[in-house]
Amino acid sequence: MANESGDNDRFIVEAREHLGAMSAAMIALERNEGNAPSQIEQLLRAAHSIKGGAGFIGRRNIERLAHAFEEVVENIRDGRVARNAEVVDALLAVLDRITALVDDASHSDEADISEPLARLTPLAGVATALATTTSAHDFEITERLRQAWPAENAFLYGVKLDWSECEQRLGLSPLAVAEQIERAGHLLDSRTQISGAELAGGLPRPPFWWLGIVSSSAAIDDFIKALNIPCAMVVQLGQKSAPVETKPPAPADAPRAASPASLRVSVSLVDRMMALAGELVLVRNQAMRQAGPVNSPQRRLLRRLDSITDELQDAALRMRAQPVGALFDRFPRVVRDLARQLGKQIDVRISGSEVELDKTIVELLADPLTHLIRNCCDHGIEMPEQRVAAGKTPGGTINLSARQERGQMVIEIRDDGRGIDIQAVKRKAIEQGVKRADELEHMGDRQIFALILLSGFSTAKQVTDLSGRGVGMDVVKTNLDQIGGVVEIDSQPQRGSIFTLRLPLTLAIMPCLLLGSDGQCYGVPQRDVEELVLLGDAHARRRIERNHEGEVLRWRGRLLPVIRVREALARREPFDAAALAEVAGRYHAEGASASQGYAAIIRLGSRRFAMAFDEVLGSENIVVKPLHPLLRPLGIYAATTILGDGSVALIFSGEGIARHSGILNRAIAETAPAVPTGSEAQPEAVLLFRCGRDELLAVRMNSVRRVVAITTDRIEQIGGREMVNVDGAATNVVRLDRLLKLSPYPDAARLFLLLPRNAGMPIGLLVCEIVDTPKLQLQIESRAYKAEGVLGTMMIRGEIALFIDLDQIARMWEKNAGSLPKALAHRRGARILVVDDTQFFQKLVAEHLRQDGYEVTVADNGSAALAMLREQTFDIVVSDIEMPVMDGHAFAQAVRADPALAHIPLVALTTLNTPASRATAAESGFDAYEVKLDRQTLLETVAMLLAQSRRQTDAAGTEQHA
Amino acid sequence: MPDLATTDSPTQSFCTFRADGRLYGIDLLSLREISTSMAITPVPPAASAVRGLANLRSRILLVLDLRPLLGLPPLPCTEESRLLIFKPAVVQDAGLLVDGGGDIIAVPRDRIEAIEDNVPESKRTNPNQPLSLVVGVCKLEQELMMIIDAARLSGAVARLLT
Repeated sequence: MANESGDNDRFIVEAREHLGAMSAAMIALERNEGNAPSQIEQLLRAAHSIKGGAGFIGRRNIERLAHAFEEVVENIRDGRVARNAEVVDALLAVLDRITALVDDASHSDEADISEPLARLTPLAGVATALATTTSAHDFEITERLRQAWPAENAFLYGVKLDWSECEQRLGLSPLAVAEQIERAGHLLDSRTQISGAELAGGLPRPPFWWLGIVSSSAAIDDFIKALNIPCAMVVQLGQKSAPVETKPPAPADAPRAASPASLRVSVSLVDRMMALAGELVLVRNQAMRQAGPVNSPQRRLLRRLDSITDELQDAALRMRAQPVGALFDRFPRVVRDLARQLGKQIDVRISGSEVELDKTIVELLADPLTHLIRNCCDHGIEMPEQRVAAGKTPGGTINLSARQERGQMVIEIRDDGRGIDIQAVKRKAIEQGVKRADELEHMGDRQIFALILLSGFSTAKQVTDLSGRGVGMDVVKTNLDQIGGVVEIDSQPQRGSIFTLRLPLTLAIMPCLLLGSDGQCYGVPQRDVEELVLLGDAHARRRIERNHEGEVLRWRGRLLPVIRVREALARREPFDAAALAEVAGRYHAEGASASQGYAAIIRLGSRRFAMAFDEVLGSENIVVKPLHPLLRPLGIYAATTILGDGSVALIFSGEGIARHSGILNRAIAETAPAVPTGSEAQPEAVLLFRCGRDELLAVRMNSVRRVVAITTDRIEQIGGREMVNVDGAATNVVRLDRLLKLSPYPDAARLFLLLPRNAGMPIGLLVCEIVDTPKLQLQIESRAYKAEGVLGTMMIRGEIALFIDLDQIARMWEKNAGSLPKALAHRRGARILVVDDTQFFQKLVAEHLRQDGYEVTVADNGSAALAMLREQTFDIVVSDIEMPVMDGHAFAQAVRADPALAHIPLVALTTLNTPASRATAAESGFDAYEVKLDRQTLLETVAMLLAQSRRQTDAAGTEQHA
Repeated sequence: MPDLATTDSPTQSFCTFRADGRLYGIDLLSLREISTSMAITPVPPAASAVRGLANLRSRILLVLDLRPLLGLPPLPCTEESRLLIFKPAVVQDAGLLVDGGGDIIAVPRDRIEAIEDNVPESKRTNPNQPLSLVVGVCKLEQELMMIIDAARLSGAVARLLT
């Protein structure tokens, strides 16, 4: 019967939840933590619910065990039984037994439960109590009774009680009992159960069983409360299917008995909703693509659809989310048992239980976490006497914490034990042939610790009952790999170890790099992509080379094996050495053209390889759809998705394609140092930000003067321009989405203004979010994305960032704002004196400045320049330092000393470039220091100094007026 | 729709189509719908019997190509091409691309002859595949209709891909 199995499933789900809570409460109770009475109440309630549920579906064994459990806990509450480890052990054993029976509920009645019951018997009046349970089988629901069941009472209960117990223990007369029953519900049928045999022997002896069928509008817990007869046993017999319509509305002042704060929804339904939300995203993307011009009403409508879709997707994602507490709750028990077994004292502290994570991930985490915790108990925490000898407390602590960080889930397991013996790990690695001694020399501590995650690697001196049961730490790695998580290990001798797990928050949506090969679009999960590089032809530095094993790419001083997507997809059988050689031969034959455009550096654990393909199509958050089961044997794909245009795209599995291409068998160790290919760029600070929601943007930190927070209401409309007052200076607001093809700014009240360092006009770039300011080795790729104002793209943390050219943006904005004449007026009016003793540089510098719209005069040395400055007016001076007659330093000092000239900005232009020479120039009075032959920066500096000096003059003017 | 149910024998309905001039039929009850062809994303390096993946109202379908399964060279899709989409219980999330057709006929069951295992190995025209999919033959007025058992498709494809 379908309904019966439904009841069974519901019972199992509920019972498991209760059991989880009970186990946690037991541990807390034993350790005397928290509020003992409330924990006992919780235990009793949970045991009672299980008992009731089991009775309802006729699982007698579960019912009996739950009843015995309840009885013992009651005795603990009433002080009849001590609360010690033995009792807790016995109770936990019963809980375990119940858990096992619940897991196989349909066969639970075939199991033999005499042993756990026997353990509890001395602790409770269990022997007699056993007979006092009740179940649905005790009651008979006749058709007549069904008709008498009032419509307003949704629930039907069976109540069983012993008159004598009511009278003697509770002082309730039969009349009082009857009254109380009538108050709680409506009595439909009742009978007294005294067998004829008992009557034959004279007056019957207690118990005098009374069984009644009562209908009520209250759910079982509330009904039991309303009934208020402690010795009465209640079992739910039935429930009307649609109680809501017939129930009168609950009075507003009384809290509704079953006001649901949460709903039980089937996972498949949530998944379906998730899928539909994903579809909506696709439709939205398609609609956006076909929408009219930026400000059309259609666009506005779509923008709303856009944000609603995002929220819907987010909500759907969160429906799948589960607090990690569901998982963490089991560990106090696990640790307690281990500690008792090992004779250690171990305490578990848990934080962040409320952090939520995708259900699938929570499930996949169970094994790795259990293993790590077992490992901490087994290998990490020392025996009490060892701890004391080491000057520690006898009891060790394991801290288990969860938090969200940068869109990732971070779970940390930290113990204060002996730490990992790095020498032992090294010895073992050499013994097992995992690494050579010289390789270990070059490895960092963390890398060495990571070796313990390899299969079959155990440093424990003796295999214990606990951790050494055939499964090693590789379980941790395997499971984490499955969900795209990583684990980091850190340890200090005698201080303890930290295992840090980083996981995605969801598996349903995955950021992917979309790449093109032979006109088809494929996806690669961005978590696997470390970097994107442009491949050049045979003469370029970045090119695919050939070695004896196949093709390789030099990357950051390593040689990475290369997979050509085109070749990998052209061959059904996995690649062997001959096939690799054949491919390499074909591409490196005389006259072969290098047609492959890009390579993604894919990282699989500690191994890397390069995947070469034709073009970069972008990056997108895709909704993951499972791969058709028939395609799984191909091995190279992990999933599928539907793209914005409705077409289907395949998502590569990094590991799969590597295996197919024979990379995993190739001996090229990615750690093998290759010949350095020239000095790599120094890391440089980069400002990462967003204007619209979609694109990650980047600028060099040193091109930014400042970032200020503004509110949108501070933006004023002046002469068709948007302006903001920043520190007293009117600053033009530049909206990047009007200059570049970017997603629109979100409607946010708080934004940021990014002020460029060298801008002719006072402008500020409107930014909606500052993401980060990392230090990176800049490898800007200029071919993938060509647009005015964009320097190129770079893969940063798995996302493609657009590098913005602030100077070009400023020029574009000036052009757009129609302010070019005004801006040039700055320059046209500006007169520049160039001081240099060599004809060549005089001409060159003057020419550059004239091209940029300035009026330029030249002088041969400092003293000539000084004379000219006194005769004519100049707005700025650009001067060499090394000059005959009067050098730059003397000249600058003279200018600064003359009150009539002191305000003129001075730029030093020299071939010297040492910190000392810079310092001397600044001391002499130069405002800026530029190195010859760097035309662009010179122009920028001149423009900036002019703008500054203009502002100062203007400000001085205003002050005088005021 | 030709109805051959002239006798009292119970009938069975088939969706018919042609490949290489021959008439084939698939039990109508195994199909969910018949669709005209759609954009198909190839899945290299799968066998040619796997035409690719298609988006059918946000469900991703595996599109199988009948011709290679029958030992014939694949043909490009045309206006005539039809995609027979199976019920999930028969072949999960999959469709079969056929050259054309899509007519439905009902034939009396007693005209259907099971041919499986009747033909000795030596007499099979193509010993590799075709007979494993064709499980019966039905005599129509003009010609013979080969009956394809859709439930065997996934097995046939799985063998090609592993």
